[in-house]
Amino acid sequence: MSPRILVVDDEPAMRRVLGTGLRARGYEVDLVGNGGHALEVAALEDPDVVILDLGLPDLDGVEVCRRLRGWSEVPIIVLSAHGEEARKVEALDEGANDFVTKPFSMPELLARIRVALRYKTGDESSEHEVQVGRVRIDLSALRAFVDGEPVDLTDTEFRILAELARNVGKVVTHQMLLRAVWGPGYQEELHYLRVYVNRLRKKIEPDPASPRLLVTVPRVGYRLEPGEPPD
Amino acid sequence: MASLVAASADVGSPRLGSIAMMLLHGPTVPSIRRVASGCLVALVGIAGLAMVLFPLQRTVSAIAFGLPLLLPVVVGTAIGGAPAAVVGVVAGFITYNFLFTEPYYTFLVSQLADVIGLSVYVLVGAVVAYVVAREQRSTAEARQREEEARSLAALARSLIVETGLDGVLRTVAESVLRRFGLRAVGIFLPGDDGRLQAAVLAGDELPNAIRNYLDGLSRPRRISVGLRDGMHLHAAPLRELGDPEGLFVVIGPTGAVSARLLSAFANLTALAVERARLAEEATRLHVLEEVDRLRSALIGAVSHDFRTPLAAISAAISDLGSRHLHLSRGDRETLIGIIEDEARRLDRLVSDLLDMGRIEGGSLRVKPEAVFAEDLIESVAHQLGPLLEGRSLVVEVPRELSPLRVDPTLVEQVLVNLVENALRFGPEDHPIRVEVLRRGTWAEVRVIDHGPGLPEAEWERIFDFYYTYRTEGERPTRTGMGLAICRGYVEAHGGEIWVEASPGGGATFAFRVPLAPPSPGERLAVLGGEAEA
Repeated sequence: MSPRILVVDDEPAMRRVLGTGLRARGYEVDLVGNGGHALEVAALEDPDVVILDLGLPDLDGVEVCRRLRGWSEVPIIVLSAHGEEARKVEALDEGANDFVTKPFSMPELLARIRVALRYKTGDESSEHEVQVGRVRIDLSALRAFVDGEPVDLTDTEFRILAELARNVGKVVTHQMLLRAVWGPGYQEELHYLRVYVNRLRKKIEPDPASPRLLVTVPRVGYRLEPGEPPD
Repeated sequence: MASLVAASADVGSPRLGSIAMMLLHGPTVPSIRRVASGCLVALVGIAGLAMVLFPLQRTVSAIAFGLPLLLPVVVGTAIGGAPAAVVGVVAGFITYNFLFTEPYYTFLVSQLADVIGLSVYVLVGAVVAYVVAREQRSTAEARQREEEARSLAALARSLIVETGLDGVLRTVAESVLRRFGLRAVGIFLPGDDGRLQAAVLAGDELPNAIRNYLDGLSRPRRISVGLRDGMHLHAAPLRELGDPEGLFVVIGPTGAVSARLLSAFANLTALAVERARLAEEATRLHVLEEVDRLRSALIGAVSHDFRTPLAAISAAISDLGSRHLHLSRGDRETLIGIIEDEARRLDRLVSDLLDMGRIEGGSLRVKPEAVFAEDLIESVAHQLGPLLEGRSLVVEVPRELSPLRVDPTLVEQVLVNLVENALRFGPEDHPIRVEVLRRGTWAEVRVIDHGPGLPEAEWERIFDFYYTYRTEGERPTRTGMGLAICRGYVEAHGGEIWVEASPGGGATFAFRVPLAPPSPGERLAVLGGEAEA
């Protein structure tokens, strides 16, 4: 059965473009124009991915995220406009998986959809091992391997990597990482995070200067890239 | 002896006179009625005593009469103040000298003892008068100061309520005018050229000569001039932060306002002016901040409006250009259609912004010509073309209506916007009506729909730039500039635009534009049947 995608956007033109493009690629698509309707359809149709515009006329997109997360683990990809950075981060903190900034190209969005489908939030927590590129992270043994060779990571480095691995493909905001690794009270200590991420890159990235696995999402956070599978 | 008497009288009178003069010119003088009754008491008292004492004229030593005769003088002075004292002492002196000193019934004095008695009488009378009058004067002064303090406090209180500069100046001028029964009060402030100008005038008009003189002053200064009809002009500079900046001018009866009080008022006014100026400055800053905030909100809204169609276009193009994707013919047409629609929307947005810029910047040029309403409406229907498919537009124009005197491009745009709105909000099975009515030398154009209508609270705001009325759960698909542009265009023709409720529900947008004055040729053309078009 082909994956089902729920598109929530109040702009009719945007809905039509996304509907046409996604259906042409074999997805089942539901199109809705407001947040209330989106929650209803999400409950009835049980979509595999939700594409959610932040600027909705009735409910705020962030609020839709929060309500969806109340009962569903469906991956949410947020569509945001420039100048909505703060709300985008809010949406991610409320459980959105990823975001695409308007205007975007279809391949960009499709790549995000594929990642979201591959690592549906519900599945990850049960996995003990995450493989990204040539890096394997063993969450139960608390060890990481590059090309099968164990990597020497400090405790903090491993915790950062593990947090990203548990959310592979998903944007993890600075706040989420700081809270998960250092605990509450360190929400402002962005530079800690930078220092450790750089050390981590030196140990797992083939070219730490241009990271492919542990990528920076500017002004938002980090993401562990699952690597593009053959199309 | 005669010379001695004359000398003693001469010693007394000028002294009393100078005291009386000083008292008369003091800040307060007892009222005429009090003075009169004081004098009367003194005179009647002296006359009565003279009658009672007359039988003792020859039995008692003359010097003994001085003391009883002082009594009416003191009582009279207590009532009537210094003038009564003068009258009393003079009358007492005459009575004493005429009736009780030898030789009797003359103003000559033969005994040295009597000379001493008379002199002491005048001296004691004078001292009593002086003390009483001084006491009265200080009481009056205290009362006056209290009055001044009270009027200053009252003024200060009323100034706290006032905030605008004009209000402050008017309050000061009017309350000073009323309180002191003045003829005119004016406050002069420097104008843009630095010269003084009347900022507020209360009471009678200032005589032109005075006004010109004051208007021309380059530096405020203290002025005190007597005017012809017993009036006096006082002026005191207003000192703000040390520099005299304005002038406080009063015209009233001489002595109505003391220089000290005038200065106090001037200072209070200067403070109030300063405060009002600061308040105005603060308001101006607040308005600027608000404009700034609106401007960034506007930029946000405009960029959102630009980005939305761009996002759709960009997504559609990336699909159309994708090599791996095999789109059906229908899909391709849908995507191309979206690109066309959204490109048109962008174009419209740009021209709306340009129009709005012209309207706001005041560079909108109206090129009026005589146009028939029917022609305008037909052209509008043509422009709307596809939007009107499946909908009906009912047009009613009086047959004999003169052509409109308008810029056809602008008024067409107004109609396009209004009809488009009506189509968007009106139910599909209801026709949109466009009526043209004659209202004197104006034509009133009404676009009537039967949609959900507008709450009355929105009737004014809906024409504001970038204001969009949002019905619940729905977002307007167009920018909030359409109606603002309509208003700009209609007002550029000297007309007005408004919205009201349609009979039976819905909204009616109406505007007025001028009719062309009928010329014989045009009348003929109308009657000749061109209006049938």
